[in-house]
Amino acid sequence: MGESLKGLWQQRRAAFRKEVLPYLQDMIRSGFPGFLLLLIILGMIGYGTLLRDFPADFPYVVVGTIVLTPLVCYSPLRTWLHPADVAFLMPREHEMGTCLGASWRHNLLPGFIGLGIMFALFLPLYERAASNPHHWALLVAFAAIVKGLNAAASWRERQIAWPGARRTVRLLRWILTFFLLAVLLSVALWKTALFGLLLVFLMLFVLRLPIRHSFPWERLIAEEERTRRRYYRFFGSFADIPTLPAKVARRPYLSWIAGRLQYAHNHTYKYLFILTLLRTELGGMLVRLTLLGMLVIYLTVRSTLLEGWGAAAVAILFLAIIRVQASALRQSHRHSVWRNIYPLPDYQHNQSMTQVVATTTLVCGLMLWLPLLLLLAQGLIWPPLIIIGLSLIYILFRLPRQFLKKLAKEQDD
Amino acid sequence: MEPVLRVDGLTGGYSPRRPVLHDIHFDIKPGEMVGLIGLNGAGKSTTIKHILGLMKPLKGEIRIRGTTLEQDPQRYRSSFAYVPESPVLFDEMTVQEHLRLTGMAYDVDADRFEQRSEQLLEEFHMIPKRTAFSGHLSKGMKQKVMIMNALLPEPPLYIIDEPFLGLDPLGIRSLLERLVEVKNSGAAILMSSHILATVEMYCDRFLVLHRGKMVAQGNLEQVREQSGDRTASLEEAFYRLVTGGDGDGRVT
Repeated sequence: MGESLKGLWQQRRAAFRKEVLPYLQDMIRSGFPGFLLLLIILGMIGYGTLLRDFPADFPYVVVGTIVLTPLVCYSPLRTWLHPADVAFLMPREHEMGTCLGASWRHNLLPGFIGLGIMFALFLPLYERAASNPHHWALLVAFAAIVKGLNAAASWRERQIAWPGARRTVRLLRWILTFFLLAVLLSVALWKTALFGLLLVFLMLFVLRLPIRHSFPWERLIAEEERTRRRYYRFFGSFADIPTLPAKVARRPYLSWIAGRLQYAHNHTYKYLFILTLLRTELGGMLVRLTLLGMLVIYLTVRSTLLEGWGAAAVAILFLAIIRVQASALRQSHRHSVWRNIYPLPDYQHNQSMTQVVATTTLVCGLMLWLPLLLLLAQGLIWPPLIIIGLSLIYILFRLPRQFLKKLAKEQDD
Repeated sequence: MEPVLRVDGLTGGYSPRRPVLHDIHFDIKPGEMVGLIGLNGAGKSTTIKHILGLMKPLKGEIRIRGTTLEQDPQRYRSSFAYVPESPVLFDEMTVQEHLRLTGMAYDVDADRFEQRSEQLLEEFHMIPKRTAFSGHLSKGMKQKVMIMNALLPEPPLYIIDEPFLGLDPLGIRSLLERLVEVKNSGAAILMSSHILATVEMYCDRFLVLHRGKMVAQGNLEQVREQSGDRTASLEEAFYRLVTGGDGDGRVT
């Protein structure tokens, strides 16, 4: 019996891989890997510069804790479960252990590899900056154990019945791991081990408190759907794919913008698209990308990489990704019946969408250019001025025409 | 009186070789509530899709307020509100935002919109849910939101497909009361439903579709007469019409 469930698990994994393969090919054809490679090369140049001119006061504890915490804490679990499994697989809940084991192996292996890569990058910095560094093998082994414990705790979290309690416990786990890693990088190993033991007991105690499901079906199904949605949202930037229902977040810090739009007949589609952009994963992704871009540009500005042209190139790269992401708005409501029902001229649909996409790209661009302008203070005038000027011309003149044309073409197809 | 909706010789379907609807004729006048009834697959939803303009007729013509969709799409579309069988809402929008979107789309005056939306939220007991995302509502509540959005612009024609699905008794009562009100104010209503007792009680006329053909139409008396039983209830008359009284035959 267990074997057939394992077979089903493997079948579903293979089916998903087969399903995304064509989109993966589209992504490769789009030139995205080249862009990624460019980012890696730029990153390596920055990393090399940092190692060469290593600052004496490098904040290795803060940097190490920030980069290692997500890799140690993040414990995704792909179970390939479908909503219908509540009806069909639930009677076999006692056999689901085999599938879970396979799911953990599927996720933990890449997780440990990612952690290893991060350590490979961080250790040279750590060994240069720390006055009395631990042996690298001990450090890696300790982090691997903490990652394993995090994965176990994440399973207990998933079992918690109340969403509020589950989120609180997860937040607590991330905070405690953050402090444990900070301690690991700054004090003797035996002290860290004692502290870690204390935290493990604390977590064990906390995890005992809330009511739990023996097998969190709904949680795992929701998680699986979210993961699939992420894949599709990502591939949707490169190809036309059937979209899964979008996950929605309230985001009051952004959605007030839609409320400020004037109540008018010709603003109908704009109102809809602004809310869609701000409340779906697209909005979250754009916020994260802009913030990350600002940080990377700021760091590149500080290192005056290639006389300011490094920062300018990073600004262009981030703007290009933001433009691609914002354009994914065209996947939304493509087949909505209301487009044929609302008493609105058809051209308003595409025009409003273009305006929303161009304005979004412009706003994100303005945010990216803030750290870029710091180059002016260093006397580097041309890189920021040329890049901002060219980007503005593109966003204001070329992008709207290009996007409208693309929409019209997709409509004809 | 000039009809709000006139369907003239409508033949249509998903393929020219296999039409689903055959030569359908009917009209609806202002202040009339008309029930569209038929078995599953009789062609009710296809008829509605043709009226909405989601499907093109193979033959025949559909006019709303005297115009076809091709002649004046704006006037045609602004003349009706539609409630689909399954609620079709935007997951990322709250109940209140849906009303605002509808108000904008149908060009409802801003002051009127404020007043109407508050009134509808209250009547449908949705004030506590005004800021809830549509995706987080129960099916019945979603249907209420659809109905509220249809009622907001006060169009001359309402096209309502299976409105009672998922509604609780309070919701059904609010809807029927509101439909009677809009009817009394001069609007026309085309309502498709399987709940024949309710349709019989509230509708002025009935359209009985069977296998894509109009097998009977008119008021209760006329439908009874066409079914061959002058004392039958709508349900009994309907049963006779679609089974021929002996199972599956067609009654003309």
